[in-house]
Amino acid sequence: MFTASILIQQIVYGLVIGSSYVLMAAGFSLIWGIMGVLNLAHGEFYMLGAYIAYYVSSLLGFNPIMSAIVAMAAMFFFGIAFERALLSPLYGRKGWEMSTVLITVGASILIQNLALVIFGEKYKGLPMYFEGELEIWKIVLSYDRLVVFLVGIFLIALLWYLLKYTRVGMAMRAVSQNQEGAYLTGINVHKIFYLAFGLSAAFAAAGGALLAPIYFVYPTVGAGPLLMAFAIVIFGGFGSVKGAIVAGFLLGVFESLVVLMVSSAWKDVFIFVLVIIVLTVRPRGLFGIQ
Amino acid sequence: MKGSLKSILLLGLFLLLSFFPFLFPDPYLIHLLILSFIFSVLVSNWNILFGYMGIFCFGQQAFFGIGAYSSALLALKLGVPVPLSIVFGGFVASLSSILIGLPTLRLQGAYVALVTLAFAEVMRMTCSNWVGMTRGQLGLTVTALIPGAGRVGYYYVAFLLLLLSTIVLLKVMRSSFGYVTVAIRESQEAADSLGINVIKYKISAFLLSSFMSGLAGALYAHYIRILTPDIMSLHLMITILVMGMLGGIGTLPGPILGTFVLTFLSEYLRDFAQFRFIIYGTLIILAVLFVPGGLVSGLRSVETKLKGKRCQEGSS
Repeated sequence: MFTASILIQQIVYGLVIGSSYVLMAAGFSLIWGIMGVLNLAHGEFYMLGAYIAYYVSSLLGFNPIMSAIVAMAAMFFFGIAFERALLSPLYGRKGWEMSTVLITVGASILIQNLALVIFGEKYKGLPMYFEGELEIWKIVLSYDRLVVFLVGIFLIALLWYLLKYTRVGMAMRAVSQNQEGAYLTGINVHKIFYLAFGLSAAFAAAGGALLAPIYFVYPTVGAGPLLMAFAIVIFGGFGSVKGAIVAGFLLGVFESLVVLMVSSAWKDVFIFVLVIIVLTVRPRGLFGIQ
Repeated sequence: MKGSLKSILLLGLFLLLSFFPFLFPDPYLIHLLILSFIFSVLVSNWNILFGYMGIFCFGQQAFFGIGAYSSALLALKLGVPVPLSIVFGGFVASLSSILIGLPTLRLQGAYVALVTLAFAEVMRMTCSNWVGMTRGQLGLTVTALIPGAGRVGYYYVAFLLLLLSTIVLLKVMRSSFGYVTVAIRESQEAADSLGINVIKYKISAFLLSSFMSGLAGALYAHYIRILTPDIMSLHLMITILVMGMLGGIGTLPGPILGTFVLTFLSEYLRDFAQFRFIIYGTLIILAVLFVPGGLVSGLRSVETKLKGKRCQEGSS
C-alpha cells in the first residue's frame, strides 16, 4: 500500500514537527512542575512568538534563526511580565489551581482576540528562506524543515543543559520537587517562579517562530499546539521535561502517520482518543510519577 | 423581615416573567429571554460539576451539542415527535457523560480539564467530519418544536425548563447530596475517609448535569432551527465560564444572574462585536483578581453592610 520510502518520509516529517511540539510541551510541563499552574495561555505564547518572528523577518529582513532569537528574547520578558501581573497576586490564595486555570483562560481569550484585532485574521506566511531540498535514498527533506529540526534539537539540548547543570536550573528542579524545602535552603522561590515562566514563554515562542516559515501564522494558531502540548504532557507525565521530550517526538510521528493512513481531518480525533485511553489506564500519564 | 422581602422580590420576578410576553410583546426582548433561560440551565448545571464538586469540566459544550444533535437527528430522520426527541436528547447526553465521567474519576484537576476538553473536541470534530449523518459544516435544518410554534411558545417551554432545573438543583443541593458534593470539593480524601462513596456521587453529578445540559441543547437546536458543529466549539465553553464567573461559581443564583447579565450585555455591545471576546477575557481576569465570588458575593457583601448599618442604628 505504502512504499517504505513514503513511510519513512512521513516519519521524518513527524520528527520535524515533533521538535517544535517538544519546545511547546517542555515549557508547559516545567510550569506545571514548578508552580502547579496549568497555563492555558501557553498557546498564545506560541502565537505571539510566530508573529514576532514574522514581523521581524518581513520588516527588518532578519533570517528565520535570528528572528526566532528575537522572538524568544521578547517573549522571555513578556512571560515574566505575565507572571508578575496575573499570577503573583494569587500567591497564597485559597484555590490556587482553579484561580490560575481561570486567569490563564481569561488571558488566552484576551490575547487571542487582541491579536485578531491588531494583526487581522488573514493568514500570514513567510517565504521559504533556504531554497532547495536534501535527498537521501528516496527521502526528500527541504532545507527549511531540516533547519527547523536542527535548531529545535539545539534548543531542546540547551533547555536540558539549563535545567540540569546551571544553578538556576538546579534551583528550578529543587522548587519543583519540594517548594518548602527549596525555600528553606535559601532559594528565592518567587524569583524562580517568574524566571521559569519567562523561560517557558521563550521556548513556546521558539516553537512558533521556527514553524512560521513552514506553516501560516494567524491569531488562533496557538490552539493546536496547546492541545498537542497537553497531550504530550499527559503521555510524558506532568512536570517531567524528559517525558515531554520523548512523548513530543512520539506524538509528532504518530500524528504524521495518521495523516498518511487516515486523513488530516481525523488526526486530532485520533490523538485525543489515544490520550483519553491512556489516562483511563494510567491516570498519571505514561511516565508520570505518583 | 429581610427573608420576606426576598421572597416578595422573587415572587414579583416570577410573575413578571410568567406574563412577560403579554406585558411586553417585543419579539427581540422575548428572544433574549429565551436565550437567557436556555443558557441559564446550561451554566447552572455546569456549575454543579465545576462550582460544587470541583470537577474541572471544560467539556460542558459537548453535552449541549450531543443533546442538540441527537434530538435534531431523531426528529429529522425517524420523525420522532419533537418534545419526545428533546427528552431523548437529554438521555443521550447523560449516557455520553458516563463515557467521559468514568475516565475522569481517578484523575486530578488538570488532567480532568484536558480529558473533558478533548472529549468535547472529539465530539465536535466527529460531527464535523461525519458529513453523511450531520451534513458537517453545512449544518442541519432542524424541525420546529411543534409545527407553527411561535416565539411565545418557545418562551414558555424555555421558562419551564429553567424552573424545572432550578427546582431540581435547589432540592438536590439542599439535600444531603449537596453537602456531600461540597465536602468532596473541599477534600476528596477526607470525604473518602468518612465512608462517602465519592465515585457514586461524582457519577450522579455527571448524569444530572449532562441530562439537563442535553435538554437545554436540544431545545436550543429546535428553537434556532440551524445546527452546525460549532455549537460544541470552545467559544461556547468560554461563554459558559464567563457567565458562571460573572455571577459567582458555587452558588445557585450566581450562574443564572451571570447568564442574564451577559446575554443582555453582549446584545447591547453588539456594535463592538469584534471586541466581545476581548471584553470577556478582561472580565475573567478582573473577576479572578478582584471579585472571585462574582456578582452574587458582591451583592451579599452590600447586603451585610446594609444590615450592619441597620443593626448599628437599632442599637444606638
